[in-house]
Amino acid sequence: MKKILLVCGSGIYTSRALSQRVKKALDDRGLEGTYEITLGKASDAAEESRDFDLCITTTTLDGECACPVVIGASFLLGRDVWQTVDRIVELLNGEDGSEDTDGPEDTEE
Amino acid sequence: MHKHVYMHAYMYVHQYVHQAVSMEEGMRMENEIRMGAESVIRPELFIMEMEAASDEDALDQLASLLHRYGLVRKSFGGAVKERERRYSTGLAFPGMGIAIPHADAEHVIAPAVAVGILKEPVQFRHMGMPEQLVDVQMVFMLALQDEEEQPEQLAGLLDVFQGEGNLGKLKACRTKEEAADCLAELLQSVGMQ
Repeated sequence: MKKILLVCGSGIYTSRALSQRVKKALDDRGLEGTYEITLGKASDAAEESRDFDLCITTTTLDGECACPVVIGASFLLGRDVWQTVDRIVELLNGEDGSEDTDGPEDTEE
Repeated sequence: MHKHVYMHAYMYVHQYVHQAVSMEEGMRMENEIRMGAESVIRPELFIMEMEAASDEDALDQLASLLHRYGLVRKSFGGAVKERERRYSTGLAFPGMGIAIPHADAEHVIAPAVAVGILKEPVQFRHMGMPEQLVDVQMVFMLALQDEEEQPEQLAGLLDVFQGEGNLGKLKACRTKEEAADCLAELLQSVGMQ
């Protein structure tokens, strides 16, 4: 079971709206049942990230994350979503997450 | 709280329906009460042709509006501005930029959304990409409570924004009443999909 941390500024609005969309996108790729999503706040993400395989965030994070980070703004804007989903699937499948693919909205150090 | 009010009203109307009024009349009343008890979209929370000197000015105006109606605590305005500085909320939808500023639930008394339709765009920083500036034409300030489920209408706003042409429709409204009706209708249309 892969663990995904889904983060926004205060953890009460954007991340909730986002979680529905991420879930639908991943299930459409046949990943249903292989992952679980936890919602969180940006200020706690760096510390919590140790226990997660991947962090999807709508906002800039305060510290350095221990797991790969994907910017999830495309889910909110409803455009270029497939690129973001590609990246998420790639990272969940354990492919090298350290390589920068030059996708501006897909990667963050 | 809202649910309780709704339940009482609902039961009352049901009783009334069976006793005296026609089915149609009863449905209409039921709908009115439901909207009244549950709607977070209120015309008095809209500012039309809003003039703002900066993003913070727009935030101040909308926060004081929410405060005037007793929906947020006095601390809300400062908290929204602080949060916006750390976690910006501009969103560049195709065709129109908007912002969805909000604050932690401790500053909120009841769920609501205050909407500022700007005369001239104001720049906000983009959500998740603060180096990118967004020309914002409408600001949706959200008063959110820390509950498992936000009121459906607040949760549905993001679906409305994503729907092609929806933001343009809202921007074209002339009066607060028209704008509130328009937003409520758009919310209903995304809810039915």
